[in-house]
Amino acid sequence: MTIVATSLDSPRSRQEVAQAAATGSGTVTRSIRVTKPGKDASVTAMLEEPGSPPAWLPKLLQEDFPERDEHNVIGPSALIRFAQACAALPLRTPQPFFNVGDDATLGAEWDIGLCHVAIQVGNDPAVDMLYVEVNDREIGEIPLNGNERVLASIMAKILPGSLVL
Amino acid sequence: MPEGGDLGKIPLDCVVYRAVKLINLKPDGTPQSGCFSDLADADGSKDYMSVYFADEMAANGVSVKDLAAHWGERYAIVEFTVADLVTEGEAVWRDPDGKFPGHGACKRADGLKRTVGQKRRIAKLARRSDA
Repeated sequence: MTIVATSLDSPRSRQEVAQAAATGSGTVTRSIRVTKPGKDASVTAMLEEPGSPPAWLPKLLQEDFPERDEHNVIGPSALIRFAQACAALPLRTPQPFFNVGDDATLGAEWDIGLCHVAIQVGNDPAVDMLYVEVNDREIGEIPLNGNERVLASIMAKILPGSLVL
Repeated sequence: MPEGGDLGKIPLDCVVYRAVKLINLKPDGTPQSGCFSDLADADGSKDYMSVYFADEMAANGVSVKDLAAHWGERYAIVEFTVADLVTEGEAVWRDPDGKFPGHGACKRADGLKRTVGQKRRIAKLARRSDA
């Protein structure tokens, strides 16, 4: 499987496109194309939020997750929903710890100060979850779908320099 | 097998080992939540999380070092107890695989997939046993 951030209006290298997508520079349209060998296997996910995703997101989708997905179990739709969930995160959100679970889920987690935030995205949207812990105590676990802005809002509040929860 | 698994046949204080990828450990050595997922196999026959029971390993003369060697250098071994898993709502059962003594399995007793919160709670219980 290959994933490329792509421009819809000018040919550029993948690196240039990914960088432009991350920084918001140039005329690159904010899209991430997820391609998989075989017919009907190309999907373009338009990131819905205005602005720019964190700089680490394109590489995570293009290289890191596919590399960890040794058994090629993650489908394009999971990558797209992961991208959509992370696209609205504040730019200064650090790169998460990430993994591909044996249950064919993409996992990402952040330990920021006393807070632990984790998301899980699977081929089945029903398993997409957002989990939050503060000071070692579980605050809650909610479906991620429809709560992407909640994730972004939580992150904005807990990042260094923000007002504490 | 859920519905309690082999509960009653495996001592609650029995140590349970789990092999996790080194790359999925955080810099402080703690495992990410995703290390504790059921296997998504094609036919569902192994739709559980593989573990190893220390009592059966000992009875067969193998140690956690042997288990680490069996999994190789890309993996680390973490441990908890049967009681830890049962407290988290898991059914545990012996499941010999013919590859290494003590192989077993666990899964949510209700048969559902673990949520990220449940994985996280297991991750917090896990301790490195081969470091």
